[in-house]
Amino acid sequence: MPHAVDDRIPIRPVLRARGAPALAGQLLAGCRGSQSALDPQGPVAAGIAETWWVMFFGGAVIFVVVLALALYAAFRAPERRADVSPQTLIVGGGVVFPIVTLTALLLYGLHVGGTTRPAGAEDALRIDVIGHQWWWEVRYAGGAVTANEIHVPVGRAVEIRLTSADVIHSFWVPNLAGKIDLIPGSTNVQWLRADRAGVFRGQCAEFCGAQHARMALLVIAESKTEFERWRARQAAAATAPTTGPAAQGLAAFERLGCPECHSIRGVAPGGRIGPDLTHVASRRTLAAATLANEPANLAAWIGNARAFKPGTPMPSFAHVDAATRESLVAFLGALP
Amino acid sequence: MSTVADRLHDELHDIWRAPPGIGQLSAVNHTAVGTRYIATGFVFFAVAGLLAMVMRAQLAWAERASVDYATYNELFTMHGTTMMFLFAVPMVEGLAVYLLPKMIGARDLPFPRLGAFTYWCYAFGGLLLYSSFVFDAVPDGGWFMYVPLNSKPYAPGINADFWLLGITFVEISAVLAAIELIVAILKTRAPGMSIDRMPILAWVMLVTAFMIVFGFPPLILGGILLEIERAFGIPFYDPARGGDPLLWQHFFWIFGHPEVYIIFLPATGIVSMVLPTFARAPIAGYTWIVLAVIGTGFISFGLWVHHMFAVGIPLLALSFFSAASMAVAIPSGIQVFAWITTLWRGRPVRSVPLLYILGFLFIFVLGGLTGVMVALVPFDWQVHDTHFVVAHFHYVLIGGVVFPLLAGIYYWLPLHSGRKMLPVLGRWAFWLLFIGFNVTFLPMHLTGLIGMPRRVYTYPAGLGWEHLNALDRRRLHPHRRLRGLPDRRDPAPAPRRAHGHESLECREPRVEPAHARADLHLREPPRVASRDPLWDEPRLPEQLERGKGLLAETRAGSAIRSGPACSMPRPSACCTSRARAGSRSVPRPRSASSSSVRWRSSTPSPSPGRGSRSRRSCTGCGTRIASRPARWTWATACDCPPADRRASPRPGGRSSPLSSPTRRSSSRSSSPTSFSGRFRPNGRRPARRRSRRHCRSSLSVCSSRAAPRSRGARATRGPAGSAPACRWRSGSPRASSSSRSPPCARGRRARARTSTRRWSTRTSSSSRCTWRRRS
Repeated sequence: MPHAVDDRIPIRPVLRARGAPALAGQLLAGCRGSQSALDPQGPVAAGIAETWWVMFFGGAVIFVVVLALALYAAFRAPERRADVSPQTLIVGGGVVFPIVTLTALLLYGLHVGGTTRPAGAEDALRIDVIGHQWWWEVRYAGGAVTANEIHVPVGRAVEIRLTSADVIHSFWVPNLAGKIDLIPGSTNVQWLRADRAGVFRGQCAEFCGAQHARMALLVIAESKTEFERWRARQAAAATAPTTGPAAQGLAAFERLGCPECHSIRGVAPGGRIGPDLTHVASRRTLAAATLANEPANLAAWIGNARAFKPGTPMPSFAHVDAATRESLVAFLGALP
Repeated sequence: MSTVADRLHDELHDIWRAPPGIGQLSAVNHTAVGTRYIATGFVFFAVAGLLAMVMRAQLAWAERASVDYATYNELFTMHGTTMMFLFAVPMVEGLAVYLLPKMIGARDLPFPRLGAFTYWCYAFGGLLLYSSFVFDAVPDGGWFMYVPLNSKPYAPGINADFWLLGITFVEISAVLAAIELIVAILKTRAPGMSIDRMPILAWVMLVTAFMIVFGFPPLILGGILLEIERAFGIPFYDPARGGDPLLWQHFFWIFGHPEVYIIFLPATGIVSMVLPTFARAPIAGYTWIVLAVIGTGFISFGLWVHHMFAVGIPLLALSFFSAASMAVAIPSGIQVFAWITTLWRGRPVRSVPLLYILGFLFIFVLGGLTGVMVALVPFDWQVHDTHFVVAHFHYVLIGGVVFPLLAGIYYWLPLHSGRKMLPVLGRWAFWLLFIGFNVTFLPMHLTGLIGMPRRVYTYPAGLGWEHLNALDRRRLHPHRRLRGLPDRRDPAPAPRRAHGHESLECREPRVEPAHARADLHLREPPRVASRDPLWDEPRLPEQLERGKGLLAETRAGSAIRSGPACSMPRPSACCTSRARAGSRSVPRPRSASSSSVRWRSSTPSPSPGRGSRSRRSCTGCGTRIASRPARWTWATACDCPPADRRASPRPGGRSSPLSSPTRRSSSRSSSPTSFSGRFRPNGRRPARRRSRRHCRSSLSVCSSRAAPRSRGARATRGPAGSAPACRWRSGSPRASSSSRSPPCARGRRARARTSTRRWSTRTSSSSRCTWRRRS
């Protein structure tokens, strides 16, 4: 890879004091992160994380007891072993205990599974997410379209409706909820709610081809006013630059055939094969959270996208002269 | 003077012997085929292990570029495919092909050519798949081959076709082998081995084989449909043209989840076979284990959707599969506690196989617990397709399959090679493997929980995954350990029943290594009176060597060279009465004396529980003598002049070939009364059915014919002066000390000679030394 790790998106760890169980506090500290199922930031993920801790401690007890029994049976002197009838051991340990435990666990699991739709669902914000090889198209009611970045208001239930434009992907933002697949030809729904502001990383979890590893997205939870402001801006069309390198960039954008795949609403409406670039400068990342959105990265990406994501349909524009590429960067950078 | 038993042994040997040179490839003997299966399986295991090492090296730290994305995708595709299709299933089937006939007392599998065909089909499929490396078209769509990713628009190359065609061959091989195993288990057990006396491995393989027969066709079908879609554009999975990509997932996982149990259940069977030997106690809860295995087989077909919890199926439907996924933990728990109980009741000996079994318990219980966790729908939504799941199924598959398999290898390899292993190396290997495995896979639970998905060829720094992945890198890779396995041998020959086996596969005579393979080919079904025949009758191997089992006539030597496999009438025809047997058109044995034998009704056995079956034996020496019908000969080691042989049919007019000599005053044998209390009551089954069973087992003889070979090579074997000391040891930990010494000194010498000079002429005294056979 031509670029060092430093070029990548800096992942801002979400560190905040939480009411973690004291017993697990130490372990939890190692589990916090912007893409961790053990650091839930919303009710859906919190319910699942709770089941994990219940099962972890329950499983640990069962594991220790079973292993202790096995070691006792194997290494305790035969004449000093407790006199337990085989029937008791097999029926007690192999039938009664699992049935009781598993029934309880199953009911608990169904209860948790039923709460994956958070409160306030009737007032939910609906977002359509369409999976592509290898990026996420995000569409809001009201016309806002973006890519690889989902803004949600804190405290409000969000209904994400997911489908795929090509192969099967899976939408997974561990801090907020479990995963659900994006199946071509059908629509799935994932509920989530962020209870705190922050940036949470998500990633495609179903193998989807060459760049499955670099198909990430960010969920940005922000206050209601910030969110509304952001959404209004994203819904607005872009304005065409008239002067300077940005105008040359627009001309180059059309001349090079970019609108065949990318669309800039109000300026150069085009296809949906690649991400909508109407407000590309407002995004934090490029190329599905592969690169931080900085002019240098953008220029490098345009110059040779396949150096960052081998196999991507985005063609290389290395043959275009540097001045034209700079004007393109200037044009795209002027689309806030 | 050679006995009839020797002659029959020789003739059988000639038939079962593999032809020399390149002709060995045509061998159909189950021992040869099973050995090939196992060896090929280990080769694929090593190859897939190497692929995994490259993957772990790639993921050892963030943004590493050891291999590029395309190679990585090929690596995990081939790793998973090889492990599941080319290692695990063929390995368990090969082990069954190798062991089962020995265990159930059959001479061979019922369809030996089919058995050989399944091996070559498997080898061809594997080679076809790996030939994709030559053509630079390695499958890269994952071992699960999801569509539309592997449909033509997204996988235009022929990579996926290599997978589909190669694996279809392997699947067909697996199904055919399963059918053969089912027939073998149901139809060719030794006389007396009722289904409730089968070794647990036979039960397990029966269930497994049925699972293969029902589980593999959906994938074969799904694969054919996908190939049709790819080749001819007929849409089955394309949603744009009315197909459904989830159809493939259903096809795949209704195969794929039983598949997991298809490879796990035989491993539990191995544990149930190995553990009693080292616990020095019979397996506890035989019935419970069998029921658990059957239950697992059924439940395993009802939980495939737990691989699809995230595809958007409604929660209510998922909850059924969640319940089924948890329910499968119950039979597994029964088995675990049955093993613990076996240990509890026994006096365990610390040995390498037991070490592996304890390691298996540790790893498998942990993997089973995480399995229950991922069966919980909401939790699975988080960890599905993450490294948590990777850790889980490696715990279940390596801990649950490879560790028992290694225990079994350590247990049965002396049977195969005739050599003991060095326990100290076995212990070292175990600890390296055990620690290395846990260091590799335990951290993966955490990397998965903190957000690392599967099948990613790289990951960005800063997510907290680096240290855990680097830890994974430092593991001691298990597959390296395996390569040294066959070398860890003590040069000393292993004693018969090196560990004190209790099941029939260890009745094989132990001879010097050069002859071991030849001798393994001898198939002389014994009569089985209990679940642990060698514990209850520790002298069984010696008795069999002396021809007291079911010895087959080879149908007039070369006369069958070009003949059909079997001309024997239906089993019942030969078992109902002497009159019918005598009227059959099957050639009589060539034993010149057998036709002049008269039978006598023997006295009932004084031991409790032996029933009152009649005995037929030579009244001259008390030896069981040749019986009819003619296709097999029961107990022919008698050299008394025909005039001394007096026998008569049992009162009912029907002669049971299962009968045994009861004359208790034979000149040189001491009566082994110390065994008398060990026999289990077996009067449940009427004699008629037992006889029929007896004949059924002989089907394996007539259906498994290779052309008889020249007997010339035999003369070079077994110089008389090379007889080692008798290596008899008590194989049975439960046998009392009085049973450990053979009852007569001449017999001891004779056995020693028999071990090494199987093909040489015996002295009349050694063959006349009379052995008591207990019913």
